[in-house]
Amino acid sequence: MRCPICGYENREGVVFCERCLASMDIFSQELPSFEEGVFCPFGHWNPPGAKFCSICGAPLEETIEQIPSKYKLFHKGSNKTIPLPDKEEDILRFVIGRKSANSNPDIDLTDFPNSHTVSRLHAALVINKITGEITLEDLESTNGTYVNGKRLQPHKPKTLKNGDKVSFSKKLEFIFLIEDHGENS
Amino acid sequence: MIKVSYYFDNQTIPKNVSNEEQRFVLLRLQSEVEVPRTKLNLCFVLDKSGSMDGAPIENLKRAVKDVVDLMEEEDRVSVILFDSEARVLISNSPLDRKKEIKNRIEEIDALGGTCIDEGLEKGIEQIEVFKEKEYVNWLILLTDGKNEHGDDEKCLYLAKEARKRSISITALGLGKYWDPTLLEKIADLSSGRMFYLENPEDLRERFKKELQMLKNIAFKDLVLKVKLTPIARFSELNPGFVVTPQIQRVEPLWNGEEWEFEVGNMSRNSEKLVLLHMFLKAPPHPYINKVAEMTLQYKDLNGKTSNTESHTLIIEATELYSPQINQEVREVIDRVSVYLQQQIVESLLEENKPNEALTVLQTMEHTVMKLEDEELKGLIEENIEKIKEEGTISEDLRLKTKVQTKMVMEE
Repeated sequence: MRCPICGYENREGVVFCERCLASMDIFSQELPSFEEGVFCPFGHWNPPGAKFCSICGAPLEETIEQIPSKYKLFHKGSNKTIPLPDKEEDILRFVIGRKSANSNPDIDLTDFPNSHTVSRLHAALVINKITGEITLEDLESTNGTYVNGKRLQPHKPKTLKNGDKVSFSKKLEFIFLIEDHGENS
Repeated sequence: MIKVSYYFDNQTIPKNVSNEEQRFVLLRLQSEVEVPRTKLNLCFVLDKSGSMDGAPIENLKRAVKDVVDLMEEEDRVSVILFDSEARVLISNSPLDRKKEIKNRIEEIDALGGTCIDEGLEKGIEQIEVFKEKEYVNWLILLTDGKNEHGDDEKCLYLAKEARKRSISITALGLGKYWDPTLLEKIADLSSGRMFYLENPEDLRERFKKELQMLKNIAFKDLVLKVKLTPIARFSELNPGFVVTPQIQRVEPLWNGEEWEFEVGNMSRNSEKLVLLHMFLKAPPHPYINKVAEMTLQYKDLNGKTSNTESHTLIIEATELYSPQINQEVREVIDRVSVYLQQQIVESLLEENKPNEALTVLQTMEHTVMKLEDEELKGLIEENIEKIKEEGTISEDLRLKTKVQTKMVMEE
C-alpha cells in the first residue's frame, strides 16, 4: 500500500502511513498530481474529471443531464441532482459511497465537494415500494451519516421523508426529494 | 509524584491476523504534589555576530537582564557569547551580585560570524562547573544565523552529550536566516524546546516565558522503560513522539533488557502526552494478551530517583476485526501527522515540486479542520495560496509553519 501523501510503500493492513501518519482509509485512492488537475473560476485546484470545485462548489464543467426519476438526492451547493432509478424489484437498495479499486457503490459521490470525507461504502438507502417506507442506514462510515443534522447510529435505519436533509459526513449535504410529492400534490 | 495511564487506538486485535497489526499507544503522564522551589543552573549561549547589531543586540541585552532580575540568589547563571568563536562572558556564578552581572551584559557588542557549536561546548562546560542534583540544568541558545563557521554534526553530538548530563536546551531562532532543522534537532535531542522569534522585540517576552517555564519544573530526566513481549515491536521509522508541549520524535535506546525513551521533564501539576507506535503479531491467547511492561523513571528536585509502578499493556483478541478507534488517540495521531507532513512539504519544495507539495498541504488542511485548529489552518491556507501564486513560499512563512506544526501547547 503506497501512501498517497508521502509515497512510502507501507506493509499491508496499516491504518496510518508508517512514515507520515496520513490516514490510509480516507485517502485510499491515489491522489492525482497537480499538473493534471483543473482550477475552478476562483482559483481552487481540483482533480481531473471533477465537475465541482471541492473547496467552493463552483461548477467546473457543464452539469450532467438529469434522468427523470421519482426519487432524487439534490445537492444544493452545485445544483446537481442524483436520480435513484426505479426498477422492477419491490425493494430498491442503493449503496452510497465512493468508487475505488475495491468498492463499487450504486451511488458514487466522488465528484462532489469534500467527497474524501465519504467512506467507500458509506450508507444504504432502501425504498420499500410495498410498504412505502424509505430508510437510510449508516454502514459504519468513518465520518458518519446525518439526517436533518442528527448523526445516525451505525446499522440503525432511519425513516426518510420528502425534503429531509441527508449528509454523508458533515461536509456533504443533500436534500432527499420525492418528485410527485412536491408540485403535483 | 507522576502517574501514568495509557490508551490503545484500538484495544482489540483479530485472533488469526496474518499481517502485523499497527497499533498506537497514547500515554498520559500527570504530575502531582507540590515540590520545593526549583533551583536553576542556567546558561545563556548568545549569538553576537555582526547581523545582531542594532535592535537585536539591544533587545537581547534587555531580555537577559530581565531574566537576571527575576532569578533567585541561590540560582546560578553563566553567559557565553559566540561569533565565529566563543568566549565566556560570565562564568557560572550565584545571583548575589546582580548589578555586576548586568553591567557585564551591557558590554556586549555585535561583531563577527556564527559558530554555534563552540558556543554550545563552552555553555555545557559552564553548567558542569556547578552541578548539584537539586538543580535544573538548562541552556538557552539564541542565534539569528546559520552555523557558517561551525560544524552541524558537532552541534548534534553536543546536544546528545547535554542530555546525558541532564542538560536541556531551548533553541531560539531570531529573524529569518537561521537553520530550523539544526535548531529543532538541538532542542529535540536534548529534550528541550524550540521557538521562532519574528522580531527583536519578541526576545524579552520569550526569555521571561522560558524562565517562568523553568521555575515550574518539578521532575526531570524522565525515562520511559518498555519491555516488549514477543508479539510486539516498535515502528522503525517513527517509534514514538513526545506530543506536548511540542512534538518531538523520540528514538528508544536498548539498555540490554528493555527499551528506554528519554521524554524530558515535567512542570508542577501538569500533563504530558507521549505516543508510541508499534506493530503486533497474531496474539497467542484467546482473550487477554500482554503487549508490554512499562515504567517511568524520574528524578525529583531533591535529586531522588523514583519509578512509577509497572503497567502492563494488554490487548484483547477477537474473532473479527473491530474498527473501534479511540477518538482521543486518533486526534493525537492526526496532530502528529500534520507535523510530519509539513516536513514532507519542505523537502518537496526544496526539490522544486510545488504541485506535490500542494497535495500534501491540502491533506494537512483537511486534518487541521477536523482538529479545529484555526491558527494552523490559517497558516496552511497561506502556504497553499503562496504556492499557487508563486510556486514556493517565503522563508519566514516556512519558519512560522514549521514551528507552529511542532507546537501543541504553550506551557
